[in-house]
Amino acid sequence: MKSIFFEFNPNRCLGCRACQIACTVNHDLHSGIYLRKVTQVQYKSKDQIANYYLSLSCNHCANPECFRLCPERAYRKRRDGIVIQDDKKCKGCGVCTRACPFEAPVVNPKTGKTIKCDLCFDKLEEGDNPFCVASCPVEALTVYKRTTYEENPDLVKTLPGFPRIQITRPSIRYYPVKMGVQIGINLDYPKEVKEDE
Amino acid sequence: MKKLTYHNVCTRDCPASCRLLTEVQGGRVVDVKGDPLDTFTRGYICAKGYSYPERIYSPDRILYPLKQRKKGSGNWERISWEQALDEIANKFITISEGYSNLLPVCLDRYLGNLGILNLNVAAFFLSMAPITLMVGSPCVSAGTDGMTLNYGFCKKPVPEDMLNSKLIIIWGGNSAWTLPQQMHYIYEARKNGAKIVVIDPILTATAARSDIYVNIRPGTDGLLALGMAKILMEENFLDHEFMSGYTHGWDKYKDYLTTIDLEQISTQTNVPSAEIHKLACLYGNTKPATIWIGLGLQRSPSGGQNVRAIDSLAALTGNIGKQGGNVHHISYEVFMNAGELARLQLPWGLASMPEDLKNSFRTIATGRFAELNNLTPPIELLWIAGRNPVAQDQDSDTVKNTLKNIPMVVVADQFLTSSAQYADYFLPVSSSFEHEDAVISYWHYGVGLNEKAIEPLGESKSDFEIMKCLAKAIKKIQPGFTDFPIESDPRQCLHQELEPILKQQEISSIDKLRRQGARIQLSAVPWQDYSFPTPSGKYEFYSLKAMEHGLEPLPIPAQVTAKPASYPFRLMVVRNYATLNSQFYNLPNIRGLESNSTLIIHPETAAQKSLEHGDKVKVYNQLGEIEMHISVSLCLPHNIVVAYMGIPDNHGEVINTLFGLSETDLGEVVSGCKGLTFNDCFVNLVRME
Repeated sequence: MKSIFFEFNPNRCLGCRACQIACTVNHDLHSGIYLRKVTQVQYKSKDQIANYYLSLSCNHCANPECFRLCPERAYRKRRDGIVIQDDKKCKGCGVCTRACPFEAPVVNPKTGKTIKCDLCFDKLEEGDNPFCVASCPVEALTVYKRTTYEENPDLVKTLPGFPRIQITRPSIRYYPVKMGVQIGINLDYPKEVKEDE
Repeated sequence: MKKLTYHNVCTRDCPASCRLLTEVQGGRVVDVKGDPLDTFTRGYICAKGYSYPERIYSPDRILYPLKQRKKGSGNWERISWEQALDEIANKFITISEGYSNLLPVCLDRYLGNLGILNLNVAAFFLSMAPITLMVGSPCVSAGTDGMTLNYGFCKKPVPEDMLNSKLIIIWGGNSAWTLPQQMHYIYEARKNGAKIVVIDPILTATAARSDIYVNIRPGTDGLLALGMAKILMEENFLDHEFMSGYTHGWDKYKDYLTTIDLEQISTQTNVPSAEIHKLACLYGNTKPATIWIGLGLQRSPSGGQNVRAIDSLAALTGNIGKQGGNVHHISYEVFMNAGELARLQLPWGLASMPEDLKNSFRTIATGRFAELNNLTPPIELLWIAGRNPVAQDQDSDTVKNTLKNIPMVVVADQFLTSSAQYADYFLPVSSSFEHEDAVISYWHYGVGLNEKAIEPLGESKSDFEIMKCLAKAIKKIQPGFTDFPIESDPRQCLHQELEPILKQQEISSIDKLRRQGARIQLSAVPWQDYSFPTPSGKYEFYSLKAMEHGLEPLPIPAQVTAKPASYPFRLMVVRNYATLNSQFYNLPNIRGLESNSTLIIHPETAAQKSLEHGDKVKVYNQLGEIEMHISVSLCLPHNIVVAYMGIPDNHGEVINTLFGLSETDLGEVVSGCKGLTFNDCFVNLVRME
């Protein structure tokens, strides 16, 4: 059985947030609640400043913590790997929002219930891309189906700035970050800083 | 309920001018997405575009005419259109009777809305001549002047011509955030083997994705270009055939280049001389190579000369007139292909008027609000449309005080902007989804027709409709006062405007244009005929016209400003991906992306001032102070702090409070007045408890 994975290329992502807003408005979350977040990652690396963006939503993990911990058993992992949540069962207790290393489930203030990325499975089933993927002007974010043992050797499972992956095994793969030559930058400052926006 | 799809086009002041598909259900916009038939955008739109439904139905939108009891008090009272228009109409009549002309009436309009029909605001006021007009461009005038002096006219290649380039130098622009669709073409060019170089004081999102990033001291771009020109000369990367046949003043330029000292340029620009050498050789060796001059670098004191110096690199290497070569900047050429209204978008619209009419106007340079206070006859009525001068012009306090002093200020807008807070009357304007219009892109020349997708919300009206209603109200009192066509139908007016384009494109109907869009056919590669409309008929390294404007005839930038000791940080305002100037900040979806008012500082600055991410600081200089939260970033030099253009602080004060009135070296050649600098402001900051 093939599973659905996100593939993200930080060497293409522009940090334009089209994916984040396209997702939000198409889920009718007009109040600054996001199911996908773009964050900036930057750190000093040898004679360069690494600077790139991550676009993150639910990673439809192989071992989802939300699924494991939800007291209402509202989460389900489909055969195609998509983790979905049953709105009717959710009581808004927030256990999943605290347990998920990616902060993927969020409480929707409109309903008091938790909501999270369902990979727009209804769109996928019709052969369309999820809103986030469809909105990216440079194909930095894509989805593809494959069996877990068909790993693409060019891709990696994590990047600096991405939360821990050992426990939940997220279904996302990354291109390794490539930074160009940087001329005239000042690396002479006291401490290393890595921060998200 | 059935969904209907309408064709719209984004009317924000942005090069992309995206064509949109709007879904309407039960008279309400439910979805806005890109039109895949739009050849430039390929259907991709930005975060702002997706936010339109939120913007249309924002609870902040003002849907009724308002009158403020005391300017700046917030003491607004809802009034009827009839009352608003009658009172304003009466002011016109009183002014005309008291002064026997309308010079005390002043119009300040700009590009808050790019719709062609929106230019009816200008047409209305021009029909009342003589009046006082604020002219010029606060945005791009130094750059267009630089291009115009060198080439004789400001032209550019089509955006897709970058696909043919083997080297793309993005100089002072952040395409990833300000024109993300262009990055598709840039990445495609890279796939074909092109190298991407970004020259910028900040490691922007675009710079971070480049092959070579050059960190340059702000405002010294022209100096770097001169250094590169010297190396191109010394290493003999010159296109002698082009130089001897089609350029003017090379002997003088050559003499000058021999005198400059690369080490000094390296110190001034902050770029090591060996790297300047490598960069020049890369540009000299790679054919075809193109340079994209962004708007940022021309907003500095030597912005015009900087652009002229960068241009000279293309002339030296013969990249002019070649596919994949040239310089991309901006062009108004496209507006010359539409009807009369669209031509008002031309900065030289005023210059092309009949002499007697032109001379009867009193013109004030854009942003020079202090000058409005000392005029005879004085300004009695100021009309602001498609502009937010308090947030966008320099020295916001002076702008506010001027607005307070003027007896009647009318602001037509969708939101109570920082400028509207100092208005006497607020007139609610409909969003472009609520009226017909059309936009011509100044980047890709696309023509997008904008349908009325929904009825205007509340009592809002299009700017065109407002002008017609005002003309009616004035005529009711004094029938012969204005000949503005009060019966003019928007659709007819649009047809008239687009007629020349339909003909040029052989498009059979306006309906077809709406569905398919069109692109005005300008040469994809400019200057192939090497025919330059300069005084010498050649590309000018040496421009006597520049001398007439008080500049060195060669592209030599003025000395760089030294920073004042008490204000050690250069404050730069840059564009954000989710806002456009002062627009979009009020939407929760956009606000949630960034903390509401962030000043970005280097970790060294943070350490020096004992600050941590999220702390609150007072940013101040001799002009004032504002309060912001900080974020810490490695992507800028330690002596620069960065804020987003048009950003309000924690109390709604605007960042431009800290910018003194400061002019660029050029601007008046094309736009009638010098441009404004936004990269030359110095501040200090202190932690707030």
